[in-house]
Amino acid sequence: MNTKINTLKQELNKVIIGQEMMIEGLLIGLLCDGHILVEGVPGLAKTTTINALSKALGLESKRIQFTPDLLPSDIIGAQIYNPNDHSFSVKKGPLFTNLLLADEINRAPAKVQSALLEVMQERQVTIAEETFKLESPFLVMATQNPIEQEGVYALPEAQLDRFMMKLIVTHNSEEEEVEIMRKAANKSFAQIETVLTIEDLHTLQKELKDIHIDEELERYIVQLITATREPTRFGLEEHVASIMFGASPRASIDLYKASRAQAFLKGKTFVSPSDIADVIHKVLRHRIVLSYEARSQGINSDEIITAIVETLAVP
Amino acid sequence: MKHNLGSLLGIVLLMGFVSSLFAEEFAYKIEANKQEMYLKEGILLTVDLNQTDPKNILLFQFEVNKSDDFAIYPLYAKHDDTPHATSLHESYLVYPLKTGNLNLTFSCIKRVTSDLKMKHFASGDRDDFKKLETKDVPIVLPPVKLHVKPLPPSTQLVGDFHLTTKVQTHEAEAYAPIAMRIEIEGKGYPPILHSLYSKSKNYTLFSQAPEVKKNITKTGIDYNVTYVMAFSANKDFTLPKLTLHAFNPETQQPYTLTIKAHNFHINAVNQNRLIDAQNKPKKLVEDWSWLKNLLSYFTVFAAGWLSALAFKWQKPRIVDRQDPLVGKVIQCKEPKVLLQLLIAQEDKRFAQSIEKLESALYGNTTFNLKTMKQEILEILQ
Repeated sequence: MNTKINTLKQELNKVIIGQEMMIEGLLIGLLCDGHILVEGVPGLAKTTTINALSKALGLESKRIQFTPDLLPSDIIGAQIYNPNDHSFSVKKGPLFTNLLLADEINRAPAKVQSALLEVMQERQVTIAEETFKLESPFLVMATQNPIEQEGVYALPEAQLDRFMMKLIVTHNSEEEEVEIMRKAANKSFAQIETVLTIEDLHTLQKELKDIHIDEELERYIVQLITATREPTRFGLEEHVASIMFGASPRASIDLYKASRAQAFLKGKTFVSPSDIADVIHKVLRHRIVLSYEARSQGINSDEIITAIVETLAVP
Repeated sequence: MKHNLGSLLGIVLLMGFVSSLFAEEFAYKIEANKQEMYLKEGILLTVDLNQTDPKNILLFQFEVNKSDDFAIYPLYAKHDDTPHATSLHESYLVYPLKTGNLNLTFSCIKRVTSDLKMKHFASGDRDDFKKLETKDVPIVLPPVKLHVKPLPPSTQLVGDFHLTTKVQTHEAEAYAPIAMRIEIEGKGYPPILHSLYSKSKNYTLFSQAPEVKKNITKTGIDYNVTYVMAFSANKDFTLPKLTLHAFNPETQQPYTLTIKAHNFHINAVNQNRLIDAQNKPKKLVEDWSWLKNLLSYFTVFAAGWLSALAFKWQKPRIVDRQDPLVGKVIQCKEPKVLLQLLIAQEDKRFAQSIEKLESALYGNTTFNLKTMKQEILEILQ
């Protein structure tokens, strides 16, 4: 494994016990300039992870708690009138940071979600007549409560597509929770130190581009995505009724990039089918729109993705 | 002496006909036109009562006592209440209802008052009523003795009657009513019979109370009694000849009133015509819906019960069910298929096996598929 990545992981492990999948997801997001959607109940070290990552990389991080009364200007900023010199000045919102934790994004109404997601895509903010470019890296880790909870505004499919990966964070194992409990009670979490710089991160992003991916695997990725749109073509007739809409071309791009990042994190120089399989659930689960029949039968998108990987022959 | 005895006997007999009294203040005469009569033969009773002494003002209250032995019909009454010269004239028609010797008794009260009291009474009005003060003295009147003779056996009517019958038609459709009127008219004891024709299986009889008209005269009561009835049947029937036995006390001769036999022809009709095709009620059928409901409740209950049991039976099978991946791993005959299967599981337990497989497939290492499958099966167990 790349020593810089290894060092970063070790530093993060000082304060984060377990949750390897979330850390790996965030690193993939950072390396690929993607954004991460995290679904899970409160108290699973989401804020801690973002803070630790920002400190370890020497980046700035901010957190926005999304509420039903939040306004777009609350996150992107606004022009403020100065009565002394009768002029307007721009007050930048919390979006102007490197790592942003958008907590409980589905508690805010659609206009606030749209404002954030637009910024995520464009990586620039326009306040009044002035446009501000966001500094690189810019990663949004949005969290959302499970959709069944009350008082939430579900993210539309088009906006979900802007997230590179959707991670489902679960509780730690018993052993991990015992360790967390002890360290939290004794306040014995070690201080995070900056182990990588922004330049190091840019270097890693450049190295990532050197990871080889075979042409056959590229076709394999496209086939996996196509299978979500045309299941019958790949012998997945039983799932035709379950899928309302398949994944978009943005999914192919993200799966391609995430597979390379996964292989990079493993310290490999090439992508193998297992790297694709490692990230395919995270990349596709929020992009496959299930039919009413599938939801009523309790079928989730992960089951369909597993069936696709099982069915499609590896190169 | 003979002459005297005969005269005495004549006087006693006369006492039976005429009961009269000459008192100090008034005189009366109660007279029956017959002393001997047949059962239900009407006798005329006349009562005359006149004040003879004008000294006081007299008022009389007279009535024939009611009795089960007689049927009494008042015919005429005239009361003259002129002060000091009161008179009362009444007549009754009396029918004896029992045979043998009967006494017809009377009640009479003499009310004695004065001019002053009358004036006091007359001075009152509706709003200031003043009672007439009288001294009431009951007067015992001797009864009129009657001897009642029995009628010939089976006599139904007593008097001089004649009968007419009127039948609407002798031919009708089935169940159509056939009206019939029978009139008995004449003078005598009221010719009211309970029923002329009795019920029969051959027809249905509709009858009503007879219409009675009477005309009271000094010589008796003229009756006109009409029996209105109707018959209906669905086949031909015959009303039998009916004979009413009557007795005329005037002639002392029995006689009969006859209703001749009537044959009726009934035309059969299509029974369906009798049914209202539009408003006919629904055909009566036994309502078994309660049983249907009960069975459906039992069925639902049993289905729910069995579903719960089925879940209970199924549960151990689910627990014991083998991981479907085991079967898939066993069926794998090529390394690529096995890799395809393992990477789809998103299970870190297979990370080492996947690495080995990929090294063999895309690198230079070698491996044994059977051993690999065994390792995976051990992980799954």
